[in-house]
Amino acid sequence: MQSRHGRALVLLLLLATAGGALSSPAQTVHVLAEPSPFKDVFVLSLAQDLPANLRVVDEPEAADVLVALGDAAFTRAMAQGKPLLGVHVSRALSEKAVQEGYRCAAIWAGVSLANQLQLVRTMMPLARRVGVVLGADSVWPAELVRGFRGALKLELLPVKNARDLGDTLRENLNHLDAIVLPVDDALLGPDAAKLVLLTSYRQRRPVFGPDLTFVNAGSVASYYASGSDLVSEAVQRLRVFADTGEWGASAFVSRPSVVVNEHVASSFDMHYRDSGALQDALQKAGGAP
Amino acid sequence: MVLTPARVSQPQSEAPASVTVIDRTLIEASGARELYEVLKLVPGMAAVKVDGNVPSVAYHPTQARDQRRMLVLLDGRSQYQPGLSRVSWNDMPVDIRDVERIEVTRGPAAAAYGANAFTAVINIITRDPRDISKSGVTVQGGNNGIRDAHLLGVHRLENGALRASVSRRADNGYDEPFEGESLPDGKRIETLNTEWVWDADARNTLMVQAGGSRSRLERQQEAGVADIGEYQGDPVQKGERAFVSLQWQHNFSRTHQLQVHTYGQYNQEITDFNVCYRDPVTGQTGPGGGLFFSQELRDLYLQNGSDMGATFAAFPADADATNRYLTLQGAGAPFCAGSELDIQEVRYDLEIQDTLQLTRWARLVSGAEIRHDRVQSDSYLGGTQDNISYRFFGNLALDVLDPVTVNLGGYWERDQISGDHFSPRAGVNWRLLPGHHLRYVYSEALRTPDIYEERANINIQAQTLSPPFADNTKALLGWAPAYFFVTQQSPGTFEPERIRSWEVGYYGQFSAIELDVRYFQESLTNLLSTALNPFEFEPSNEGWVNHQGTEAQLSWRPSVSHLFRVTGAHIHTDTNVKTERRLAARDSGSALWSWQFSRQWAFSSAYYLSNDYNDNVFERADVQLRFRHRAGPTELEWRAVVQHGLNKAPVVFAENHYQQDRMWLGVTVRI
Repeated sequence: MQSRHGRALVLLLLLATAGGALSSPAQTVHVLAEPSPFKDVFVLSLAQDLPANLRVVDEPEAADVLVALGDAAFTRAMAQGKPLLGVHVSRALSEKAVQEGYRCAAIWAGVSLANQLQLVRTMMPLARRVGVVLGADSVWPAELVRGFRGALKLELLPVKNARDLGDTLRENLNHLDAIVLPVDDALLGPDAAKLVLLTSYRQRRPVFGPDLTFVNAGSVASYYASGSDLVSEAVQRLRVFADTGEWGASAFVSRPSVVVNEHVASSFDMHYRDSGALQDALQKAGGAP
Repeated sequence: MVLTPARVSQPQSEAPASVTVIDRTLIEASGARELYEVLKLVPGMAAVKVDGNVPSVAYHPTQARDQRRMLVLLDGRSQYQPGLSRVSWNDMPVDIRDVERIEVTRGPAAAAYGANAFTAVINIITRDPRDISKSGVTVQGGNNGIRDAHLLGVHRLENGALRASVSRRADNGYDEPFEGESLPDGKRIETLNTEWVWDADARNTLMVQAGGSRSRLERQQEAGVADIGEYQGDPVQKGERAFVSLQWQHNFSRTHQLQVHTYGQYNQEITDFNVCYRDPVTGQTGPGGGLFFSQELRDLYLQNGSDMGATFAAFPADADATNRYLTLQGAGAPFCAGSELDIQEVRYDLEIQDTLQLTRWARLVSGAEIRHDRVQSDSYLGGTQDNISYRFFGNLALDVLDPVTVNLGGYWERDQISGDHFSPRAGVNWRLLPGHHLRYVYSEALRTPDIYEERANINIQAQTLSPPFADNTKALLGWAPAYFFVTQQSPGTFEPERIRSWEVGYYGQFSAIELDVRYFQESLTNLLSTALNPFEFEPSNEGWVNHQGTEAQLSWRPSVSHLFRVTGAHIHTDTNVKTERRLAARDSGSALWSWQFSRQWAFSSAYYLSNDYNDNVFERADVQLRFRHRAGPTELEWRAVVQHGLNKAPVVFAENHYQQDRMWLGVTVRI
C-alpha cells in the first residue's frame, strides 16, 4: 500500500517538474564589457557552462539579466534597470549600487582576506605578525582587518596614496613577518608594485597577493580569481537567480585559484614552492587562518 | 634567506653551512650597547673583553686574544687587518644602531671568501638608506662612565637615498679598583658611517659608502716593560680609520647579475708610553737605565741568542757593556724614554662577482678579486711591507633531484707572502619534508701568516729622551737614534694554518619553532700557537687543535608578542698547546626572551653562560625595558638596561672584574 503511494508521489513530482520546465521559457543573459579578448573568452565559456534554462544573447535589450565585466561596464549597466550581476567589480562600487537600491550583486575583484591569510599560514608557519596594506579603494575594509582574530596578528597599514606607501613600508616592515596586499588598482600601479616588491625583498619580508601579475613580478604567492573561477562563480549566481529571483550577497569568488612564484618562494625558504604542492596542502589544511 | 655562505641570496635550508642570523629586532631585544656583544647570541661564539677594553670575538675560540682565525665583513669589506691579523671591534667604523642584520656562517668558508675565513665568517650589513623612514638622535648614560650618543640623518632623493650617522661611545671598562689600584681600561670611540644609494635605472644600482672612526683606549702597562722601568703614566692607544667603497650592481636579466665592488681603507694605531728605566744593577731609576737603549746591550743580546736571561747573566763579564754602563753613570740624571708601537695598514681591493642561473636547476656564482695590502710600522716591521694577492672563486648550486641541493665551491688565490692555495667546500642539503632539512658539509680553509708573523722586525725606538740623553744620544748610548735592546726577527718560513671540517646538520621550521642543530668535527693544524711578541718570540708552526661537538639554536614564537630564543654549544677541545684552550669553553649558551606586552611597552631579558674561559665561568643576565610613545611630530623611545653578573669569577683574566652591575638609560627621538 505504502509502495503504491510512493510511486504515485514520484510520478506527480516528475510531471510537475517537467511541466514547470516546459512552461517557463529560458532566461536570457547579456554580457556587458569593454571589448577585449578576455570578454570573448568569458562570453564563450559562460554560454557553454550555463544550464538549459539560461542562454546568452547578443543584445542587451533582449536580455532578462545583465552581466557586467569590470567597473565601467557595471556603471553603464546600472542605467538599464535590469537585474545585474557584476563580475570583477570593485567592492566599493557594488556596495554603493546596492545602497542606492539597484537590483544587483557582484563578484568582487580579488579574493577574500581569509583566503590570502590561509596562504600565509600554510607557507609560513612561523609568521605571526602580518601587515595588510589598505588604500581608500582597496577591496578589504579596514574594519575587517581591525576586527580579525586568529593565530596571525594583523597590522593595518593604511596608505593614502602611492607616495605614502614607501614611508609606510619603511616604518613597519622591520617588525612584520610578511605583507599582504589587496586588489587596489588605484593604489598599486606599476611603480607602486615595484616599490613594494623591491623594498620588501631588501628587508627580506615576503609579499603575498594580490594577484597573478604581482606574483609574476615578485610576490611570493597569491590566491586570485582566474577567468574560469569567475565564469564558474557567475554561472552559479545566474543559476540561483534563475531559480529564486534573488542574487544573494555580493562576495569574492568562493573557490579561487592559487599561484606561487617558485623562485621567490624558494628564496624565502617557504614550505611549499610549487602551486600543485601548495594546493594540496591548502586543501588538507582547510579551516580559517 | 641568507647571503653569506655561498655569496648569493639563497634559502637557509639550502645553504652549504650552518648560519645564525641576528636581525635588527634581535639586536634591539638584546639590549647590547656595542656591536660585538650581540655575537654572544651565536652558538659556539665567544664575545668578551679579554684585554680590558679590547673585545675578543672568536668562533670555536682557542687563544684568549684570538682575533686571527675568523673573517669579519662589513658591507662586503674585509675587516681582517693584514698587519697583525686581527679584527678590531673597537675601531670598526659602524655603530650598533647602523646595523640591519648580521649573518654568521659557522664553519670554514674560505671556499667563498678565501684565506682567513677560517673558523667562521661574520657578515655585518648596515641599514640601507632607502629603507629608513626617520632621522633621529639617541643619547644614553649610565654608571661606569657610560656615555653614548648617536645621530642619524636620512635624506631621500629622487632615485635613491642618503644616510649619515655619527656616534660616540665611552665607558670606564671593568670594575675598579682592582687590588687597590685603578685599571686603565676606559675607552672613547667615535664613528662616522655614510651611504648613498642611487637607482640609476631598472638595471643599475650604485652604492657609495664612506666613513671612519677614531678611538682612544687606555691600555694597561706591559709587564715586560714594567719589570725594568716605571711608567710615567698609563699608555694610551689611539686609533684612526677611514674607508671609501664603491659598488655597482647590474642586472642583465632576472637570471643574470653582475656586481663590481672596490674599496680602499686605512687604519692607523699608535700606542705611546713613557718610561723611566731602572738601573739594572741598583734596581732604582737612574742614568744606568740607559743601558736598555744602548748599542752594546743590543749586541750582547744578539750574541746570546736573543735570550734576555742569558744576556743579563753575561753583562758583568762583557767589557763593552760594562764600559757603557760606567759612561751612563756620568750623565747624572735618570734615563727616561718615550716610545710608541705604531702600525698603519692600507688596503685597496677590487672584486667582480657574476651570478648566473644556468638552468632551472643550476646556479653559478663566480668572480675574481685583486687586493693590495700595505703595512707600515717602524716598531713591528722596521719599515713598509706590501702584499698583493689575486683570487678566483666559484660556487655551483645544483638542484640535482627536487629534494636535494648540492653546493660545490672553491677559492684559488696567490699572494706574495704565502704563494698559491686552493680552498674547497662541498655541501649536500636534503629536503626530507616541507620544513625539514638535513645537510652534510665538508670544507677546508687556511689562514695565511700575516705580514707581522712573516716579516717581523721588531725595533722599539726611543722617540723622545730626557736630558742630557736627548742632546747627546750617540755619546751616551752608543748610537742615534737609540733602540730598545730587545729586537726580534721572523724567520719568514711559516706555513699557513689549516683547518678541515665536516658537519652533519638539521634545519627545520615547524609549528612556531625554527631549529638548527649540527654535529661537527674540526681539525686545525700548522697552528702558530706560540708567543710572537717583543719579549717572547718563539716561531713555531707545530700547534694543533681538534674540536668536536654539537651546537643548537632554537627560536620559538608562541604568539605574536613573545619570542624565545635559545642557543647552546658543547665542544670537546684537544690540543698540544695549553694556551690554545684558554677561550675554549666546554659548554656555552644563551637564552633570550622578548615580550611586547603592549603597543608601547616591551620587555626583554637575556642570559649568557660560558663554562669556562681560562678556568673562569662567565654567567650574566641582562634585562631591558622599552617604552615608545609619540610627542607631537616626534616619536620617542626610552630604554633602561641592566647587566648583572651572576657569579664572582673574573672574565677570562683576574683583572677583568665584573661584579658591579652595569646599567644605563637611553632615549631616542625620531622625526
